[in-house]
Amino acid sequence: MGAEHRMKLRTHLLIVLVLGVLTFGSAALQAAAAAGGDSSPSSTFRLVCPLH
Amino acid sequence: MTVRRSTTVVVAAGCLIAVLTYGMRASLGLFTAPLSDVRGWDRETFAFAIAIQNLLWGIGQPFAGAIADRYGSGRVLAGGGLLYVAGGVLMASSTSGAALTLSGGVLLGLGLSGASFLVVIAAFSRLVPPDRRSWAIGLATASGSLGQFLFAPLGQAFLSEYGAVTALVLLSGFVALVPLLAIALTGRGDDVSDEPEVSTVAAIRGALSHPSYLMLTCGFFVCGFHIGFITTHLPPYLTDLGFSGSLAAWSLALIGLFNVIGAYSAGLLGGVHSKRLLLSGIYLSRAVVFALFVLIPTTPFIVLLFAAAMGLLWLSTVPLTSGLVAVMFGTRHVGMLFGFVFLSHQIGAFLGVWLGGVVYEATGAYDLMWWLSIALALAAATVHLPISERRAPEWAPSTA
Repeated sequence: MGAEHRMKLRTHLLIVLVLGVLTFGSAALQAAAAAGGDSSPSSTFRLVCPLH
Repeated sequence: MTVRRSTTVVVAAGCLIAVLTYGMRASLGLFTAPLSDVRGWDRETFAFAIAIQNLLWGIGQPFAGAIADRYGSGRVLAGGGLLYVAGGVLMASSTSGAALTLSGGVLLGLGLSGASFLVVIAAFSRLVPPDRRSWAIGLATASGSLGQFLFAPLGQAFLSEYGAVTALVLLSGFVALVPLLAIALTGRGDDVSDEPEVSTVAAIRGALSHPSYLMLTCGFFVCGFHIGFITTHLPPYLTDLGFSGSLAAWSLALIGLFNVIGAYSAGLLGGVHSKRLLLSGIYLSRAVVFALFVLIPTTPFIVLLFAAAMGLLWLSTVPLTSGLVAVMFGTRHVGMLFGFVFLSHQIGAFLGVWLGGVVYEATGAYDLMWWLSIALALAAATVHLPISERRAPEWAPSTA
């Protein structure tokens, strides 16, 4: 059994929650800016992929 | 000499490097118009420098990986980080097109190669115990995604407050932390004492003649194709359908949120389940999601649902694909060998972006591109099935 299974499910959920909230919160700021006309959708969409 | 260090410290340092380098990279797009306005450059001048940057970044990956395998990931990350900072600061102070190409193009491109996620993955592959490796890479992938979103509003705030030149210098300052964090990620291929000694040339030759490696490379090409096409052409596609920019931006937020969940979960699952089957499932799911998106009448709810589904499937391929390279060939040359796989991803991304434009200009719609994406997803789902998920015979660890 992998060591990651020794980590509690609660720990995994906490990690995802923290990363998810920070990511979604920052993205929501951009979405609000786009809605306000400060930024175009193309300028925000190109931010998505770390491999580019 | 092998230095023992805490897995937690290694993973935390790698994740922070991913946050910083991807964050800075993502923010560069914000400077296109403001910096061009300040310096009086046309878009072509700026675009040429960024094109050079992308070219050097892609081509430089296998070399950065090979150098990391030979001389240590920490040194490459530190050197890359310094080049990255120098590129950013000099880009801010460039006053001519040539200077911009050298700083924002050449220096930043080389810096991106050295301080890249790929080198972090190579370090994780050597420093994190095998049973936690996939989880760690999944976590770092999710962290890279966070960095992109985190730095964009920060970059906007700096731009508004200080102007383009100072904002770029300030953002570059964050990357100066990379060489410090890299101290936790030192280690090279030779440190893996139980793996057979294989020269760099023999490693390349062996990998390129291994069918499973070639199939994996083809699969990651498709990933790049999808992501290149969607990142560039989804916004105009939605605009063509009459939707607002606001919907596109909220879709982005959902992609980011679900990408964190998808990448983290894929890393976790890859540690205990078959990576090739998970990858096959991801590509098959992409085909289904694309087909439903094209066939079902598009409403705002469907767009958001599509974004959430694509977020789950977005970078979940990364921990599984890089993990398979380590399974097949061990960790001695993992940086270089995953570098070649990554290069195929970038070529796929280039084609996804370029063909999207060509098809749209030729037909006035993206329908053909969606169906091509579905066909490629099905091909990728199929091509992963016969991959041998075990160590290639000549790369087996010595039992002595």
